[in-house]
This record gives sequence, structure tokens and C-alpha cells, in this order.
Amino acid sequence: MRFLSRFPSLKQLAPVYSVIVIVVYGFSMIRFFWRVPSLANYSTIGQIGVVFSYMLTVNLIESLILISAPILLSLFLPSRCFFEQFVVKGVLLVSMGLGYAYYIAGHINTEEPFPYELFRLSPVVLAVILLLVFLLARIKFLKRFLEWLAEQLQVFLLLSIPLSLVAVVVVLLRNIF
Amino acid sequence: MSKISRRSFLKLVGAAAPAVLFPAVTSWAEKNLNQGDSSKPNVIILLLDAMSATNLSVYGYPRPTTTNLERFADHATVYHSHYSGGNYTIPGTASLLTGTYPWTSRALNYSAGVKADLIGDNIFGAFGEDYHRLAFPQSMMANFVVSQFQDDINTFLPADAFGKLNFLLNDYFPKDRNMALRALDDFMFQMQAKPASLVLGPLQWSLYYRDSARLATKGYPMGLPHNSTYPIYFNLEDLFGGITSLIPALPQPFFTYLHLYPPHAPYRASERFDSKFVGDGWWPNAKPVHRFSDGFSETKLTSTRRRYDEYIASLDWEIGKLFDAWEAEGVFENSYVIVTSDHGEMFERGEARHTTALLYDPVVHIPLLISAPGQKIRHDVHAPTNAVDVLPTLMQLTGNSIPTQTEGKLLPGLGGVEDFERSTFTVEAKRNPAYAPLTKATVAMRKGTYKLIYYTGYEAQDSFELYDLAEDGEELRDLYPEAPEIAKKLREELLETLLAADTPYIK
Repeated sequence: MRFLSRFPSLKQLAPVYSVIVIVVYGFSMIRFFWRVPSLANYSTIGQIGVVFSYMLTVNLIESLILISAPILLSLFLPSRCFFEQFVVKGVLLVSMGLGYAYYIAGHINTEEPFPYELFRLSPVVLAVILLLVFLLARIKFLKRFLEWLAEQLQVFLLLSIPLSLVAVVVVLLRNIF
Repeated sequence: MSKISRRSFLKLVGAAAPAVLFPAVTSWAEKNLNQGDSSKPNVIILLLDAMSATNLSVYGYPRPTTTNLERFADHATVYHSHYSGGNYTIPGTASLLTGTYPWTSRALNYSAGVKADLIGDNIFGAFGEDYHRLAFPQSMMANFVVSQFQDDINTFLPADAFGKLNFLLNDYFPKDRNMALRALDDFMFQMQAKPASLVLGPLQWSLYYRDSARLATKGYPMGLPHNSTYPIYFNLEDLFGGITSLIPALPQPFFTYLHLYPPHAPYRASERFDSKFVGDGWWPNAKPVHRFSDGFSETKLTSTRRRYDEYIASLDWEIGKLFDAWEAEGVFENSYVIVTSDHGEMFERGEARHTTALLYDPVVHIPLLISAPGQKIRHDVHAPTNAVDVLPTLMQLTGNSIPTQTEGKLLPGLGGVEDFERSTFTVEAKRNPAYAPLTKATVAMRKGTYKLIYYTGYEAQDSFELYDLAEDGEELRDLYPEAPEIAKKLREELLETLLAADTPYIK
């Protein structure tokens, strides 16, 4: 039972999840709007909407996978290590993790060889990120700033969650009937 | 006296016409007419992506690239002036499968499909439910078109069937394949550009590259054949082995559309044919670099062409084995077997690809060889034909109704007659919005021995080129300034036809 008592509350989860949503959905959204002019060349609005629905569904899955990382750390580490500072440590963890993902994505293109070394370095990078999470969470100013920022970002959840649920329904309906 | 049904009448007309023109086909016609509706012929379209007729020895190419197709041609009708509807897979495939030119189907752009009101008039639907209809679009671009017709297809084989490695996601969405392809494989997890998924996209790339690096490349010195922009690896042996065993097992009558990716780039000849044409002493004619080309050097063009030719020879080897197996199974006795392509490939004038604004013959002159059931001798047709002709011809031959929207005509020798004065078109407009008049496009019109090429929207002023293919098969002498009378007549016809195609989209 003590294990489950370290499961973060919704109030703790929401700010961390909102950081993930901003980065993950934002990344896809930018590419989607780049793509719209070419899609509009040969697609109906309905088809563009379906592409958007698939995108949001993938984003939802990605964001749920990512939020599971701080949840697992919270469950498996002693309370004082992660659970008691879930928001700030969660935000630091997902921010730096997504930063690395963004760095990798920036090195992926068809003109150059695939950046394997960046993936091979991942365990080391993750270890460094974890270390930084514990170190940076001690800086009070940074802690307060991150908590404030994550709090503000929660407003996006009011948009992303309903939209994602509608998108999931669209994808499910198209694949059931 | 028994009544003749409409279907039997159509079959009679369809079978009688070639019988008059080509007595050797009579044996099939007589046999088939006596069998009634229950013995409809099977139809197999074997489409080889990006296979230019100009690089095939069966069409007179100096390199022995297609010795097995030459054997096949001995019992087939060979169309010598057959043209694609477009210069890459989307328009080329759409023309074949809808019997309409790209300016009608609006299958103009990358990742696009045919317009909504044409979807119901596709070749699979036209064959009707009497036929078991199987589609195997191994080319992903073909998938964009074929998956639109999935409601009319009984068996849809995914692109990775018979493959070595596949990371495509649309396979998991069989009921919504077209949109899943567009949203996932062509956007969120795309391989031809940065994936739009920040986390799962790069992860999928890494797994794909890890697994592809581990693939055994035995038998392929340059590496295994694979799709250039989608995550699929395959080898020719498994691909053709799968097809060999697939056909005899199908319920009859059947219509199969096998759209195979090779010999599309990257060119990966098997060991037997790798470097086969190195130092063979044959050199293509050097041609002047075109102002719209990439400006590749002649050395680069020559070596790329050689690799392409070697890949075709590898493919032809497998086709030979496939046809031998089908021969043994008796497939040719009750099937129309059609070998064709969706577009060609060019290695001249500074260009080494097909996605170009240039519509010279290497890009648009495609093979078409049709073996009728039981056909024993070769026929040659020299009049211009087009991919749009295949659908109406097959409908006629199988006693089905010809969709009203088709722009094709019955192929000579299979219901139609040779018409040298007929005009056929090839359209390139990938950068033009699909539902707007064509203002950035190239259109090639073949009429008689002449070919007029029209470039619009690339430069401040539109331009034309005119060639007489009977005198100048290499398209080196532009007659446009030299023969103003002919040029004027052809130009007016082309522009009128283009205007008619544009009219529904002029606001």
C-alpha cells in the first residue's frame, strides 16, 4: 500500500503533463501547419481533419508514455526522493528528456546517416538528466519558477484533452465501421 | 432458340473484333465464347514500377535486359508506342486503374489520390463481384491510389507481403488504410523527411535502421532492394516466390493487380547481374543538358543507367521463373497476363530520375505486353496507345460494362483498331493544386508519329517542343520552329484539350 501511496495526485500530475503536452503536441502541430498547404492541394477539409485526428491520437499515446516516466520514478523511489517534489522534479525530467528527443529529431534527415550514436548515448544522457533533476531541484528560485510555469501551462490541457478524446473517437470509428 | 444476354453479346463483340484483326486470337475467342459466363478469363496485371520501355531489349534496347520478356512476347501482343498517363506513380497508376487522364482523375500531387466522384469507377469495381479481386500495391505511392478502392477489393495484400522488413503502420488499420497511410506513414512517422512525431517517430527510425543494418544481404552486392522513401526491404526471390504460389491458389475467375516496386530506384541488382553490363562496349547517345534538368554529368548518367539496366535484368530473370511456373500451372491457358509499368525513368539530358518536368520518351514510354488466354503467337501494334486504354479493354474482354467516365479506347488487337491519328496525353503537374486549372505543368501529346511537349508555368513564357518519333526516336531535333504548320495544328489541339480539362476548375 505504501507503494501506491506514492502515486501522484491529479494536482501533481497535471502541471507535469502540461509540459509534455506543450512540447509533444506543439512539435507535431508545427509540422502539421507546414503540411497543410500541400495537403490542401489535394485533400478535402474532412480528410485534413482525419489526418489531424490521427496526429492527436499519436500525440496522446506519446504523452501518456512520457508521463509514465516520472510516475514510475515516484512509485519506485523513496517518497522524499521524488514523490514529495513530484512537480518540480517531474517538470525537470520531462523537459530535459524532451530536449534530448528534440536534439535527436534535429539530427534526423534523409541527407545524412542515421544518428545511431545519439541513441547509443541515451542511457548515459538519461543518467546525467536524472542527476541534474536532483541537483537542479535544490535551487529554490528555479523550483519556484518551474512550478509557476507548469501551473500556467495547465490551461492547455483544457484544449488538448477534449480534442484528443474526440480524435481517438474519430480514429476508432473509422477503424471499426 | 436461346436468347443472347447483353453480357454474352458484349463478349461476342469483344472477342470477335480481335479475331478479325488477328486470326491467332481466334482460338481463344472460339473457346471462350463456347464456355459461357462461368468460364470468364482471369486477368493478371503485372506492373513493374518505373520500368521504361526504352531500356528493354524486348523493345529493341541494345543491352539484353529482358530476354525472358522476349520469350513472353512470343505469345503476346506487344504495344510499341504505349504511354503512361503521368510521369510518376500517383498519376500513372490512377490512369491505369480509372481509365482517365490525370487532369480528369486529379491524381496529380505526391501522396494524392483520385477525386471522390471517380473512386467508385475504379477497375476493381468495374470487374464486379463475379471476380475475386486482389491488389498487391508493393509501391507505397501506388498504395495511395489503390487503398482508395479497398471497398471493391476482396484481398488487399499489404506492401510488406513477401518482404524482409516492414515498419509501416497503415497495415494495422485495414479499414482505414488510405487515411492511416497519409496520416501515419506519410506524416507522423514519415521516412522521406523529419517525422512529425517527436518521440515515437525517431524511435521507429532507430529500430528500422537497426533492423535493416542486420539484414542479410547475401546475393545482393549493393544491398537488398528496398523502397526509397518508406521502410520496406525485400528480395526479388521471395517477392516472386510469393507471387508464384499466390496465383494458382486464387478462386476463379480472378483479377489481380500486382504493382511491384522494382525496378524503381534504388537499383539493387542481384549477384548474377551486378556489373553484368560493365565494359559491354555499349554507350548511349550523349544528349544536350536540358535547362529544367538537375545537370548530372554524362559519367553519372551512364553509370546510373547501367545499374538500372542490371536491376531490370535481375527482375527479368525472376519474371522468367514466374512465367515458367505459371506455364506449368496452366495459368496462361485461361488468363490475360499483362506486363506494363506506371511510368519510365530517364538517364539523359542531365536528368537521372522520373520525377522531373521533362516528358521525353524514357520517362513516359512504357511497356505493354498482353498475352491472351491460349495465345501462341506474337503480334505487334505500333499505333499510339495509353495506360487509360487498359481498363476499357479489359472490361470489354471480360464482358463487363465499361465505366462511362473512361477516356481510353479499346486497345488494337483486343477489340480496337490501330488509329495512328489518335491523340494520347501524358500529364505532369505535381506542383499544381489538384482542384485548380493547370498553370504549372508539362503535357506531352502523342499523335501519329509526332510528339508535342508543352511546358507551362516554369518560366516567364510557356514553351513547346515538337519531335517526329519516326525520324528522330531519340527526340534530338526540335521541329517546333521548323514545322510551323504541324506545330500550330498540334498546339491548338493540345491547348483545347487542356482548356476542356481545366474548365470545371476555372472560377
